Amino acid sequence: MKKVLMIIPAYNEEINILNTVKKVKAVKIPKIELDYIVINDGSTDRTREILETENIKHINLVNNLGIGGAVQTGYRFAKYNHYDIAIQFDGDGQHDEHYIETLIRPIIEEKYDFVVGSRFVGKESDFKSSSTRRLGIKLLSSLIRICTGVKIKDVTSGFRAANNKIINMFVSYYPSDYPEPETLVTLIKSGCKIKEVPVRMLEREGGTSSIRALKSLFYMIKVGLAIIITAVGSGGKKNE
Amino acid sequence: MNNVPLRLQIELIFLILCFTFFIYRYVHKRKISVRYSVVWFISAFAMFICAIIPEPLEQIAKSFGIETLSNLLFLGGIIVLLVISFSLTIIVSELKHKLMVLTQEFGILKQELERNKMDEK
Repeated sequence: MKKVLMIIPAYNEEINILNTVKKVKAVKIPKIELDYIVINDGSTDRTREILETENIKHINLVNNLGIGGAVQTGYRFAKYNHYDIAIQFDGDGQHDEHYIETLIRPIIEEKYDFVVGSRFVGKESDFKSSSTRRLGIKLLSSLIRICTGVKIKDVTSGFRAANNKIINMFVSYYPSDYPEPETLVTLIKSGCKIKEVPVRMLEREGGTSSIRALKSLFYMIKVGLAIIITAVGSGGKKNE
Repeated sequence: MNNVPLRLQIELIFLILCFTFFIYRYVHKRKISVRYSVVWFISAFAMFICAIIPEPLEQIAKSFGIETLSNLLFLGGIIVLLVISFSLTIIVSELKHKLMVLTQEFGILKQELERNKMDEK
């Protein structure tokens, strides 16, 4: 019996959060004890109220920490409560709960450390995103390949599963904003086995994307810099 | 030799004294911690020395090949400000990290507390 925790970060997700949690709760996987925790990242809308009245297991953060800080809270919780596997699952309804098993299986059966749910491998995906965004992802993917020699296609995917070794690593260091590509480099540098599996992602059901048009240039510079610095350094510096 | 007029010197000394008093007030009211006030007191003291005896500065400017004293002062001032703002960036990053850990631990602790309360009911 493996204990698996779904980490669901939510910032101002009053529209989607209840649906997302319901979908996750309905998932049953044999020989897996599936649990979830919603991280309310200091939402200013009715998210907290909904979580409380609906009796949804959640952690309220008193400050808005951003996606990285919220997800790290989940990893911290997973560490303290001795979960074997932690999965990041967006609160905005973008991820498809039917692929949870797909993400866990390589960790349990093939001894992978980390599994990325990818929109760009296999035929599962009919995900539509703007061409600029695809280009950005491709650029980052190439940069990671140049820096580490490992090819990962969907480097910005937030639908990911980690074993307990990586849970511990993420508790000691997790970038606070735009964390996905940077953490991949950290993991590759420290010799973790990473697998990319095809998943379907849905259109956002509301809320706003964390990558807004005006911020995309800053995003590329920040993430690019983070990748290079992490790749050049010896295995990524520990922050704690 | 001395091409800094006395009137300018007096004005500068007056400004520096105001500045020092200003920092002192903030430290006294505990709005700036003593630790971070040190750098400002030292810069005020350095400025004070420069204002009362500017001659060595002129020598320094000459030896560096800088034509006018004001250019040396600008250069020095900018370097000092760069160092100070860079160290502030370090301090802010450290504080941000500490606040992050604190917020996370606090959130988890509160969740546990509330769950225990529910269990008791």
